Amino acid sequence: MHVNPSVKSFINYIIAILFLILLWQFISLCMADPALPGSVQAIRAFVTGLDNGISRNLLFSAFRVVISILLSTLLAVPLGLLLGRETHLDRFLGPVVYLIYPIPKIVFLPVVLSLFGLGNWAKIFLISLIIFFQILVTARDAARSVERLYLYSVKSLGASRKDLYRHVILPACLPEIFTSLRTGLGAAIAVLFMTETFASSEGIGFYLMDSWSRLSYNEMYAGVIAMSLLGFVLYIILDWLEKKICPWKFLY
Amino acid sequence: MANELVKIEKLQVSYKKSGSLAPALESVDLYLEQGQTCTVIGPSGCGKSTLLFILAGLYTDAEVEIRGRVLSPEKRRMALILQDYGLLPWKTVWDNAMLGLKIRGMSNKAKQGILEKVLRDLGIWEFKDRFPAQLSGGQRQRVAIARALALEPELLLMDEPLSSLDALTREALQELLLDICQKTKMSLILVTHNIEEAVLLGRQVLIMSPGPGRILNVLENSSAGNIGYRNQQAYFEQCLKVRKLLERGINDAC
Repeated sequence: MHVNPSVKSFINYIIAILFLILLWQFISLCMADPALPGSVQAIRAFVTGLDNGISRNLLFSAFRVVISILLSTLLAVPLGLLLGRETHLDRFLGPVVYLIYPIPKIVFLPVVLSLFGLGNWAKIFLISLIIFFQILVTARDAARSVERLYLYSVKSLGASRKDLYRHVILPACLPEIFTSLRTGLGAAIAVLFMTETFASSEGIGFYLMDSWSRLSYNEMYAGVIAMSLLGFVLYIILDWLEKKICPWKFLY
Repeated sequence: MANELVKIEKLQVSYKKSGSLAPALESVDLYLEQGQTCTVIGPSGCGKSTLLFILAGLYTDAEVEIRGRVLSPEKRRMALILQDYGLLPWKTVWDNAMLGLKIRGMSNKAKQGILEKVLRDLGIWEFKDRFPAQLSGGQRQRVAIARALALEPELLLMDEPLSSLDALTREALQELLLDICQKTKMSLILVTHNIEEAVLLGRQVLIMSPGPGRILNVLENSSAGNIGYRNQQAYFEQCLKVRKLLERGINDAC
């Protein structure tokens, strides 16, 4: 029987999900600990929780992480490309980036909370700060290694510097930028969780820790499911965007 | 002379590498009239490509030091075709071919019509929505040629454009080039490391030697320019002559 490949991969995902749900249920049965309820109870708690706080908290979390990714991408990509191509700029800013990049920015959490307060912006600032550097360094390195002959060939058509960025440098770096966005997404959600557990009253991180403090384990796992779904959906969106924006990477 | 197109006198080029200068070309002279073809042949590292890139005005002052006199047409009257990196992998055939016109702000309806005709003439119109990776090497170079022709250049510069193609495709494209040059009266400077190609296409064959690059000989080859030349006795004799000059050049340099 001939099956459409996208249908086939969809079926494979369903099988994988069922497998994980069963594995979870099995481990929970073996451990018989209230701190690890079965997948069935957790899913039930998630569904009933949707009307009861999860949806609202999920929206808060999604808003924070999406805005952070957009903000850091919009700032890091142009700056990274410039640093990669303009040597005089890199000579000045390169050492600065080199010094700041390895600092674990999460240690600034208390500082950021003090400066920006407990609302959305402190969280957005910290998430953006962390993935900004990941994207910046990737974009810079990708821009540095753009094949020189592509640049010469387009230059010979009379291209200005702006044309070179638009037609050569940016598209050449896009696949690597998407890879950095994918790894950045994981970091963003982890940081989102951290920020939402501190002095927060909204967000899935808050919902999860609140459930934990009330020893409501089913709801706590509903929060875990919500957080995972958020990551999964954003991951799918990134994949879809890459296929739309970089069709030449997916020819066969 | 009135119809001179390219004139190079005592050209000396050095690459600037971390503070020091690496000589690439030494006392190179080149003279090309409008509508003429010239091929440049020599071993790797003899500065053939450097010469072409200088003509195309691609190097910046930060990259090279140039001495001597270089007279070549304005940038917008030239087109350059490279061996492998001419087409952008992220653009379709149509967008690649259109790129020159777009950059020069000439992507209007009339020019689009001209480009469509060029693509049809070169037999690649049906591939216009494909990406370069979906084409054969020969089809890709046809797209590069189409992009160059759409700009209606006076001078076409080619850097080993056919080297990575199989023999039959290569011959078909050589014929195509000769045909285009005859019809459009366009001038051509083509860099190659293939003796037969140099003799077939260039009415003037420049033989270069490395370390640093200089011109050993200028071979007048006035019978070049039509495809029948490939089967004539004179053609074989010229090939032999070029081979001997090249061998002597390499031996002297070693």
